[in-house]
Amino acid sequence: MSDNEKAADEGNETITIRIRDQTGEETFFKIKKTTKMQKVFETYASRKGIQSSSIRFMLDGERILPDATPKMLEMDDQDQIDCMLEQTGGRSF
Amino acid sequence: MNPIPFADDPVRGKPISLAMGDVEGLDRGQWLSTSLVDYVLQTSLAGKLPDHVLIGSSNCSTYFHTYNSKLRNEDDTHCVQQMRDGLQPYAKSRYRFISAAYYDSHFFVVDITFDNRQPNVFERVNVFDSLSSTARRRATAVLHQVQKFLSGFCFYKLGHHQSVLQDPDYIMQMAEFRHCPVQTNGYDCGLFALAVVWHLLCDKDIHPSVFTQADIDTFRVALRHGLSSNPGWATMDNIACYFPVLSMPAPPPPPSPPAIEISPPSFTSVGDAQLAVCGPRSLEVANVATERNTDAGPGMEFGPTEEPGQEQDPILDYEDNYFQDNFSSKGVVFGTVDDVLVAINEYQESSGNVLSTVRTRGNARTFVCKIYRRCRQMLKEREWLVDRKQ
Repeated sequence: MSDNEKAADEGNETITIRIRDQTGEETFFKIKKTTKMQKVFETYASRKGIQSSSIRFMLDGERILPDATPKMLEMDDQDQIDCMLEQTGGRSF
Repeated sequence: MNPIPFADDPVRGKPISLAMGDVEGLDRGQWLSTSLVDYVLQTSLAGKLPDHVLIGSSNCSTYFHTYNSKLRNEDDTHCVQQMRDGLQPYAKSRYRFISAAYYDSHFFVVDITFDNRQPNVFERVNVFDSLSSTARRRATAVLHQVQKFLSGFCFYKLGHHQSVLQDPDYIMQMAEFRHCPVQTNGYDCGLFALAVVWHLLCDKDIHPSVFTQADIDTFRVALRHGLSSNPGWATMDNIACYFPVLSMPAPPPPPSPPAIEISPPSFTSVGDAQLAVCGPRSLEVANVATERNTDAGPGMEFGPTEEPGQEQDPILDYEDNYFQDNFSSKGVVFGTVDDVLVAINEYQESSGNVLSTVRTRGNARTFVCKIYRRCRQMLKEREWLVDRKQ
């Protein structure tokens, strides 16, 4: 198998990732390793009925940029992403 | 392995994107979002922090809670181990962690200096809350999570003094609730928290009149206008113009620096040099500082505001006289917006400067101009909201 074929195979490899929200609820996504996370984030936000910009996605304590891919993030099958809602605040009497 | 940005540090972490909805949170009466607070911190402080100063995300309370809950979940063993590897550099030196933290619909500031090598672990735990009446409840929730996160991740199996951290309330014994400026409305806590962070980083003493609600009102309009036209507007140079103490030149360094026992560089020496802003507004700043000195009572001192022999800014002086001669001293009252526009045109033609309208409120206008103190006086007399030109 040539190097090009190997790269193509890696690109087509699919993994299942889990997104866990603050309540512990998990949502599963089966994606290619070369899929941009933005697509996952927007799909997740759409399902939850919120804007993707109002959620912060974290992997092992670090924020994930929308342009990143599972391959860039060295994600493996069943890896988990944590999501945190952005909040608004002004007072608390 | 590179250290993981502590508590999703917005300054050292990945770039934060800003949505228009976040900027609209700066409209009068709206609440700020955690993403806006983090974005402004990132823009204003990027590349300016000493290594030992850590800025936490405003969402750090959620961050700490999320990861602390993984400590007791076997499914998360891999994640916990990964994070411990990336966070243990924070156990090897002295760090100062500052965050405009969000909790329970409110932003407030925690300023914690910790050193895993010292018996007390926490050298200093300060809380600055613009609504002091319920500060303890909120601070307790966040500080408990900070201690648990340090103990469970950063100091795990590295702590020489872990025994003190076994008491979950230990950090609260160290906590001091410091007096700071108080908000007089129900929506400005995010800006108050940001202002406290900037004053702390410039090594300014925080006291109840270090800045005022009026400063925040003015800054809010400027930040809204600035971010709408230029996403990179929120630099320290631009921000400092709106806070009298921040815009004061840094005091001269002492003749011989004090001995430092701990290896990281002194925050004061490095932070001041990088963050203090010395603009051409020395005359105006001197006036404001004098007023505040009187307000604050005896014993309150401010650093030098003007070097001997330094010339006054001629434009500033000219404008100051213009407003004093034409508005304040004559007690001019404008009946309509058209009257205001005529006065502005006259001013622009005679001075060559440009005043810009940033928004309308009622039948009056909000203007951006250079004369901060004079226009603030006009605001007080005529209920105008006036801001300085950038």
